[in-house]
Amino acid sequence: MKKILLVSSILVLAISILGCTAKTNSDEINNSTESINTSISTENIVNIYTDRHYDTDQELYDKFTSETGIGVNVVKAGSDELLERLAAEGEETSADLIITSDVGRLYRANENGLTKITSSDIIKSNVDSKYIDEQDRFVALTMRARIIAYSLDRVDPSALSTYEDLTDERWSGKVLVRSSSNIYNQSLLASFIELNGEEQAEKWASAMLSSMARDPEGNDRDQMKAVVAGEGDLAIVNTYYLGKLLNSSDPIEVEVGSKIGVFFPNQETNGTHINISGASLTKYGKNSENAIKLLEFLTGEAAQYQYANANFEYPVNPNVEPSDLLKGWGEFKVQDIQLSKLGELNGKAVEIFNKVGWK
Amino acid sequence: MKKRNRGLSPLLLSSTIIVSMILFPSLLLIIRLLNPVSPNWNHIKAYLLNEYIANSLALIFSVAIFTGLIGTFLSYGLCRFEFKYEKAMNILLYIPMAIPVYIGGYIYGGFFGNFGTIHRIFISLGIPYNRPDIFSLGGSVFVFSLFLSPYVVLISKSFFKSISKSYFDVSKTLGHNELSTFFRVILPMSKGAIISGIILVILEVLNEYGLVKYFGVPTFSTAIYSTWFGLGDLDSAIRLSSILMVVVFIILFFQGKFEESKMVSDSKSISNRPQRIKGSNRFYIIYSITFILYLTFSVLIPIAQLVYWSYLAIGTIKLNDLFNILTNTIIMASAITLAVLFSSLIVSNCKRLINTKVSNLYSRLIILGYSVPASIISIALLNYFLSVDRLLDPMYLYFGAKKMLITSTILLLCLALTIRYMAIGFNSIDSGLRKIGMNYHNSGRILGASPLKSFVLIDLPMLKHSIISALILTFVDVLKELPITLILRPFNFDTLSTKVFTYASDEMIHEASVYALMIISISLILLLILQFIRKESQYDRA
Repeated sequence: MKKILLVSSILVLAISILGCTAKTNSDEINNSTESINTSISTENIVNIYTDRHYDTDQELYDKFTSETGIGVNVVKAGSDELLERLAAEGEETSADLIITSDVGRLYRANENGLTKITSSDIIKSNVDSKYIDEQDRFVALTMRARIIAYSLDRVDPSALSTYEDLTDERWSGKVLVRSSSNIYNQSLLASFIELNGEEQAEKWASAMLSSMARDPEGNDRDQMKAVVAGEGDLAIVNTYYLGKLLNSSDPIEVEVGSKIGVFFPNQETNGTHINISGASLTKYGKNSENAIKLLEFLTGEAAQYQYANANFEYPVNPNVEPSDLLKGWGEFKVQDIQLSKLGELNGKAVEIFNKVGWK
Repeated sequence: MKKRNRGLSPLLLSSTIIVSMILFPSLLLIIRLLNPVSPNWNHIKAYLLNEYIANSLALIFSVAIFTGLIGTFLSYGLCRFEFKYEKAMNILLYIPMAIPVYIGGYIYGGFFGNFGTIHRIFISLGIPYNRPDIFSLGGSVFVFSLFLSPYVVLISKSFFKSISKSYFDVSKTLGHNELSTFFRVILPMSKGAIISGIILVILEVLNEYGLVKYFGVPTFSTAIYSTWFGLGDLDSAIRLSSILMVVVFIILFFQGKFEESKMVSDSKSISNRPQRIKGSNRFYIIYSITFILYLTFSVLIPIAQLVYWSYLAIGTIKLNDLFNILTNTIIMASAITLAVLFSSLIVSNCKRLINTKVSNLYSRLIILGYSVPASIISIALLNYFLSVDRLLDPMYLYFGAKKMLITSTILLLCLALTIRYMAIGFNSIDSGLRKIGMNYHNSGRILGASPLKSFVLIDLPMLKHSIISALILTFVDVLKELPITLILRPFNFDTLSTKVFTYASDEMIHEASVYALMIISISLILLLILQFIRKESQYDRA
């Protein structure tokens, strides 16, 4: 009887293991129909860790596979967890490329010794030089601006000028912004630390608390809805989410979006804050050449056009125009700052947020 | 005596293996406590901890009270009294569990928020709308309580169902009515089961990050993630988690002690189970109102909202990989549920038969993996299995297996989830086994059956309700599990819950709803199947 216990315990474990591996097999079969010989050849694939979850990205990868025969395998998760996985796996990692929707994480990956230099003349000719790291540690794929969304009914855009001006008494209790755990707020404050110094940045964050219409809550779409509902007059949001709102399948969301004006702050001074989605080669990637090919493809005109039009992001290839919607908001001066600084100062920004009590 | 202990040793051995699988990754976390304290630590202590801990405590207490009350009332009422649609009511009560809490947050954010469903109704009626502040501590308590109450229902119900008729008879003889029987007899004896359920709820609340982030209610887990993601300081984040783990461990330890001293008598036979009785009219009115209110907010509104959102996503959603995603989800959840059930049976039986300090300790340790936020434990598990792989690499080579066999395949995810959900399965089975007690088992032994035979032939059938609860809990939990699946999955591996998350995190709630509805449907199918099986076995007995 005791033997039966042992045997059956092994059996169940084996079954559950088999159940799991059987599934991987079927996965591999399924993949191999798309990308030839995923599991056998290590030559013709590229493995990506990405925190961009968009369907657009997958479509671009599929297109890349059909054009080059190089299979693309993806793990999608949060960037911090992916960096940790990459670090833990060390030399044994199968990831070749790490893609994040925040430059700070790419900087952090590099700081932790997880990436290597990306050098390709094609990428350099594809991408506006300000969107490539000066030391070739990462390259941008798309760009988003953090703008001031205002109520078309109640706000005269000529009253708006800079991010700094939002702390003016005029806007007291009228500004909506999400929580400081949001990465785009962190990189916004990091840019102020770089441009105006730590002290000024802290003053700004602290003064913003009294400009807030309510405690930070919800996501970017919620901030814009609150503006239209009259909870406040202004919101700090990403252009990308306004694009999504205006193209929502929900007619009321579209209506909300149509009552929002877009203002690019700091045009007279140091430019509007942007953040990028970007990519780095992993240090121990085994298919780095393929990874570079993929980056060349993604920064190429066709892919950049698709990013711009399907996903309301700004292209980083100067030959590709933004989508009509984005063009309609007008051109703008981009914050003049080394992108890697956003990563370098991210921790400092979080400390300031915690210190001043921006939830 | 000596012979008996030796005979049981395979049980102890397998328990030891199972518990060590849980223990080692947790130890990896605790060992990191020995690393020098980073400068961030002071910053965290100065600015984050006080308020965040206060929020966490407020959340835990309120949610524990609400889920305890709602869960116990709904579950006991259904067990004790006759209802015309009892089976359907049973199933309905479990459905809220299939809705991940953070999706519950999006649903109620979207329901009460600006231009949400209620706001739209007000607009169409031309009435000004003052939105209730759902994005608050109170709102979080509301959402948590709605979607976590089934945990209490499930675990306490398997206990209520097997309470012997004699307790009711004796109480009646002594002149107590239903209400006072409940408070003076039933509640004291079922406290352990109710608390087991509440503890699962508390652990879920402690771990949760998505809802509190969306609602802007910073909690202890916000502090952990803000330290890791914001400051890039995983060591300090782990330090915070370890504190959490130690606190949870201490609570559980004392809860266990407290319970053991109270477990004086075991209730008895299945055949002695009381018939459901007809309650008073007043009871039926109160129960119906509670039941309907609860279901309106936890099932009806959420599903209606999800259906509406899914309808909006019809034009944009891409379902080309759906078949793969479904098979991945179902096979994985089933395999893990099996593994969890089996291991829980071993450890809880070991605890019962080999009632030593060691085996009792095991039953406390098993819950460790569940007390740490999932992303943190997944990193610990990853590191643990990476070192196992590195250690076993020569063996893999010898057998011609893949290099890094565990970590480069789905095995990693399966093992990790099994470890994580052991607490869930164990809690339910353990409370069932404790109730059955040793008498039947000992009778079997006296009649010459081996411990295993007695367990399989005598205890297991009596344990049916607990096993079914454990099965539902584990399966549905794995179905909606997110952080571990997200980070430990192999390439190109999607489940329903990763789909929900990837869309929701990108503020594409319409698309996310489609997959959330699928999670609910699969859970519903499981519940129906189990109901069917239960019915069959009832006929068998008749």
